[in-house]
Amino acid sequence: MKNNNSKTIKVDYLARVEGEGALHIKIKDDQLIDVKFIIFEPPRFFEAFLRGRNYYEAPDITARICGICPIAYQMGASHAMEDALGVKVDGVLRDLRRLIYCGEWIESHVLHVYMLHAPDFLGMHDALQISQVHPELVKQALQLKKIGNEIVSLIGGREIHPINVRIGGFYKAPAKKDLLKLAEKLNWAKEAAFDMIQFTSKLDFPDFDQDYEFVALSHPDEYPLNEGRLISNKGLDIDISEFENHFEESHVKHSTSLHAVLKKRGEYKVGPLARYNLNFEKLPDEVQKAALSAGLKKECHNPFKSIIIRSVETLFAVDEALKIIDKYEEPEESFIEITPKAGRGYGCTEAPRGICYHSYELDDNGIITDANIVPPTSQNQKVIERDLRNFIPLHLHLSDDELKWKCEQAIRNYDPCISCSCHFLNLTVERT
Amino acid sequence: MNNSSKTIIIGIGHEYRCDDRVGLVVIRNLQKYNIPDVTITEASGEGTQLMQLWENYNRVILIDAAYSGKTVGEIYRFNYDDLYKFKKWFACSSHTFSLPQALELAKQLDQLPPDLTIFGIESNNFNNGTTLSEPVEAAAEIVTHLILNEFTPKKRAVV
Repeated sequence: MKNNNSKTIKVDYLARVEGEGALHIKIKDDQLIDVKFIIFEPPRFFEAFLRGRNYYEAPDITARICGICPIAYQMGASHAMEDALGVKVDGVLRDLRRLIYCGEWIESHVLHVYMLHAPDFLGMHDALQISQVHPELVKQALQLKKIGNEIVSLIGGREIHPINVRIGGFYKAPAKKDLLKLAEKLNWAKEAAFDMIQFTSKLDFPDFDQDYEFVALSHPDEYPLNEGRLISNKGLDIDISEFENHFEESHVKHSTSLHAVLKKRGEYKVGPLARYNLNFEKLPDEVQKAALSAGLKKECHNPFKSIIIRSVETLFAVDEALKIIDKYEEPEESFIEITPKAGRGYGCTEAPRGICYHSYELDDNGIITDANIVPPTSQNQKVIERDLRNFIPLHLHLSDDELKWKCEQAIRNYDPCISCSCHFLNLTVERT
Repeated sequence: MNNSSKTIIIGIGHEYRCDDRVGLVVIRNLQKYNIPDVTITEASGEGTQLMQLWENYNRVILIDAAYSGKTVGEIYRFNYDDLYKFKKWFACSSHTFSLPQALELAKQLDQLPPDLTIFGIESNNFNNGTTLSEPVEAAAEIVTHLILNEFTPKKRAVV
């Protein structure tokens, strides 16, 4: 729609993201006036219907929040309940949790890099077009993703909404011989992950370094998956139980997903860039070397280069999975016995898209009386809008279609999982 | 495992979006019968998962809700060549990569099942809920028996 110096560009549905979202941009006299990242996916009310359920139902219920990242929810729920009930899962069961999480990182990152984001960098609309030019690349991607799914399926019993995760561990531990068969495939996957880094490192990236407050978990001994303190590059260093003292969510009119901010400073960024920047030294030497060989430095502030970071994290996940399988010995018990009691517990784990926070209150019988879940995509909404506010003025000279595509690409930097964030994109640009 | 001599039947659907669960309903109907040498499974419709499920199977049958605006409960039976004309009918999905894209990509990569049939059931209620529209429920029964007739045309054991 055009009126004098105003123009409207609409994208009814953002392609190549999970869920339904929209974008509204107002431009007047070639100046950007306002940007709104609109999420209109219906609220899903998980926090509400968790209340009144038993503590042990939380992993199975919260897994339904997402089909791409169910492990993130199952782990967050499990850790939070165990925290409330005074239980610590350690040793081989802890390793199995890291292993299943590695599977999720692999399948989620590979799906996003090759199927959802790479087309943007290649000037193509989808992976189908990529396959017409680079069929072997797409075949390799599908095979790599499949291996990630197989890890989740073997440990979790099923690749979508796994059924083997429980509070205290797992219903059944995998046999070593089955993991060793997986290891054979993971050896191939390691080479494929190196190829993934090489492929993404050669893409063209706009010059768009930004000043972010990155927030991620940090652990003294490992690149974070399930556990750690919450830190930032601007002074945050807290136990996860203090999350609600430092972060707050609020409802904004244009989104069914709550926006989150750091109380003292505003928007912040979670996800692969945050993890990488805050935990580079925790990556294995081989992975660090691969990242630096790809042209990355120890810090990266360009959100478009998240596609390389996801590739680096895929290599990390494959490498970590192989290490865990190598030292695995079948446990005598696959879970720790739990006695329900009253309490409040906290869990925060690194979903593929960033930190995913859970807190629950239980009564004497272990019934959930309160639940709070903060997914990564809802936490990134404000920084997505800020990126667009900084990005769009640099590209106002583009045609409407080209601007539309660039904005979608900028949003896809975050691999948004919109359905998760609501407990798909319409773009409207108004130029006046 | 190479399943090249075997068949897989995949019901695609969403449990809590009314008519969108019809593929799952057909699968659950079929599971009451003892059909030898046939894998029967449910899927959410995410495209890469579908490609993994049908990999190495010679005969693949897919069942999914369709939306074209025609009469609710109408049953369509396609092979790949037909689907190209009707792919928008199966585009009602929030998945990033769903059935039509999976089929096209499989064709491009030479991974399309040799013998493929797609059943679509015309639906129009995709609201939250678990109830099938009456015509859709009736169509699910018909599709169940169409598939059963292919494998067990005479006696069938109910388990």
